[in-house]
Amino acid sequence: MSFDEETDARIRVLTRRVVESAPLPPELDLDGGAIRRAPAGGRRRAVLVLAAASVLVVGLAISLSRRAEPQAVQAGSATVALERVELPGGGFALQTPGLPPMVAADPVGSRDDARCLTPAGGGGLLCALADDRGIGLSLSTTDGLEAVLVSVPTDAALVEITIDGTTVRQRPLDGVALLDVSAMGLDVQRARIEVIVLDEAGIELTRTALAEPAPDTSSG
Amino acid sequence: MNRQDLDVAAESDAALYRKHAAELTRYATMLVGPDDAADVVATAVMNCMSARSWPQVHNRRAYLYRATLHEARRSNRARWTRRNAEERATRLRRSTAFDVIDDGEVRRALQRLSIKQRGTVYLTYWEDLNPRDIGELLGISEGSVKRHLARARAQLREVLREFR
Repeated sequence: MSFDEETDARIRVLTRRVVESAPLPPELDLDGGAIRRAPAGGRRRAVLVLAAASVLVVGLAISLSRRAEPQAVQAGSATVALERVELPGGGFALQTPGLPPMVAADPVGSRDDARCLTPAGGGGLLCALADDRGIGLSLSTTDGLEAVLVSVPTDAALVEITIDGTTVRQRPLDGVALLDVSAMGLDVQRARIEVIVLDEAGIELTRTALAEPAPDTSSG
Repeated sequence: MNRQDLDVAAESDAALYRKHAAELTRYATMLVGPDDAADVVATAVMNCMSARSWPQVHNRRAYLYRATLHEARRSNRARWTRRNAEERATRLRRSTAFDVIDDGEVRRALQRLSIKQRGTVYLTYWEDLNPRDIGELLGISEGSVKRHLARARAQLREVLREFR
């Protein structure tokens, strides 16, 4: 028996040992369009998830009540207001009044034509980029904000953003996800960024890798 | 969609799940270990069948496999994050989902592999699929499958030298 054949045989034995330890398949109720797990193992976890979600909702409500004053931002010919909303446990979102948090105005530009929004009162930049498939990236440096804003199709369920090897997952709202990178110690305008758009089942729909650093907008 | 359509769809989902539940659970066991396999399969299947795009999916077996792989990755990431936090707080010994397997060599071997490598090994050595079929199932190229398999073999070769 050759070395490779011997390795293959051993891997086959290993695989069998693992597979033999497989539990019984979970029982799922798939009746009448309703999909749920039979109440054997998942009940305690579901209670924990619900409890955690409740805490998060309460925390978010408290934080929203303490949000800062709206900040006017010039977007092309239109003036919109963006609010910085502190999130529980740190981080922030930008909010356009009347819309859910993390929805920013017109973030998508063109990759070769970065669109920079200058706050009317001065003091920072919010620069938007997009690739040729319509996935937008915004590199924001507004008064200490350091964020990556991703604009995706409105039916995208999840967005995975990898910045210099650090992956963070966001659930976009109305096609926009905003990632706070202030604490990551990154130069986002020089970072390698990859964006993966996923559907509800976590299946990858599109993957966009930006190997080149974003254009330096600080001197323009 | 009327009630009859819903019933037909639900019936076909239930039949589809019955048909593939065992193989998906075995696959998940290879990916995350026996302790978390059922949770991974349950979450993946429920995510798939509640997705808006599910009625338009042609190769549903492949879709379920990919969703299981994705959920396994998510599950592993969550576990590592949780355990890293625990370690920092209490300096606990690092452990993995495979600790429940009472076989030191098997556990050590699997810990060397990435999730995709584990999946490729399972589909090659248990399901006896060739790289082209595995690629179709997982939605990756044949070349990627061969690369994952080669790296897995190289990793395992070292560990399995003493494997009897």
